[in-house]
Amino acid sequence: MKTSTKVWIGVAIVALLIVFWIIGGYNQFVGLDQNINSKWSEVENQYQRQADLIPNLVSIVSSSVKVETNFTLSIVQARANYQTAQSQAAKDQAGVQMNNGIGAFVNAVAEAYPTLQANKQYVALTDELSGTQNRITVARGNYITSIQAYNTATKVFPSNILAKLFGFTGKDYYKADVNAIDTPQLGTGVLP
Amino acid sequence: MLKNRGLFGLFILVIVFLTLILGSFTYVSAQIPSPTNKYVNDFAGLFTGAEVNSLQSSLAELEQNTTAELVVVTIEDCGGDYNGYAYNLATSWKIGKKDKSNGFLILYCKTEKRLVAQTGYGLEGILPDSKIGRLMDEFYVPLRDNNQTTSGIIAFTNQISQVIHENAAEVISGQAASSGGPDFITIIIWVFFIYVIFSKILGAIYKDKKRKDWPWFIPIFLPFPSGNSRSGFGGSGFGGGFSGGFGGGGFGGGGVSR
Repeated sequence: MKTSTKVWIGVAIVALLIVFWIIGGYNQFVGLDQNINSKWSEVENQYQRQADLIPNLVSIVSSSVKVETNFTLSIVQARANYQTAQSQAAKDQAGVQMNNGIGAFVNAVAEAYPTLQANKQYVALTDELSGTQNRITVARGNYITSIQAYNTATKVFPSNILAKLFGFTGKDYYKADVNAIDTPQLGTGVLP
Repeated sequence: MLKNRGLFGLFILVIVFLTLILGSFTYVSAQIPSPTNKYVNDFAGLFTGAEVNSLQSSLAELEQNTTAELVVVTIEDCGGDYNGYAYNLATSWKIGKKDKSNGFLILYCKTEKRLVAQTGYGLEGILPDSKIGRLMDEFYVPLRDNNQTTSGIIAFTNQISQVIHENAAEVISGQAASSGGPDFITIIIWVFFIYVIFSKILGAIYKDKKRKDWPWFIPIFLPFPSGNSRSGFGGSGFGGGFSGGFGGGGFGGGGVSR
């Protein structure tokens, strides 16, 4: 075989390798990007689950004990805010408020109405609520991890070359906007 | 010197392989122990030998009949955040079959005096949080309050096992758990495919000469997933204290405790 032929074959092999690498790398980024979306969907999934539990919570508490109207208002409002939120940021903010609101509500009820702890329906509901809160924590953690994997891929060598080539830029990490969370105002009147 | 250039190339590929595999391991928190047994890991030493044996055989039978992996663990100290600890343990051990995520962890934290349950994705349908809570209230709490904690744990475990048995059909068919990241098989196929191409091409180049230097540097350029995705390979079996390991199932984080 002539030397020039061997050289060409060598060049062809290297070119083929580079093509494989580029294809593989691009697919890698697409996969990581999609993973972020799917992990965020799971966070919203859990927020929705919480939102669905709120009407039950309100009705069980209201029918078991005498509560003033304002008492349940904050979480009902938090749920409404969540349902009407559109963008991811807005949904997250509303979701956080709803999540915090439920926690505060359940604590307030436990303090004001300890007898409710004997109500099996109520206990079942609080189990579901606290389970959902745990799931939200986990879903957020998975979401952050998925962003981390993506960001790392955009930065390490040699995939950072491909990242620039295809325009995959780093994404912001999730952080709950602490300032945006208003402490829910529970009823300030005396509870019967 | 190497007699067979094919062998040497294969050697390089194996090195690349191992780097891929080892690189994508998630590091387990130092606090979480490795399992010593598939069904009962009594690190806090609460159970008698007879209780452990009895529990192990019934949980083994459960897995046999339903494929579900129900695991009981006791820990001396869960570090305060027992929910987080339970979730970390369940996910690092990867309890439950990979394709069904039908794992269930019953964890007792001795210092916190807390019983925590973690449900695998695949069992959430038949064991929602409220049901688990109710079973704990009915079967575990009364015995615990009567200073019979271990009996309470066993009673609760039996209840969970019973629920799984009753719903065996659903547990066995199960839904596929989501697994992210590049497939192990895909990687193998890629590497094998490329190796074959190389052998053929380079064989054609060199066959009419005496064995020249094998272009050993070429396998290094093999396309490999750069930037390891942490949802990676779902490998199991490297860290377990016992042979076999768990199935690789996933958990959503929902936890109930009393």
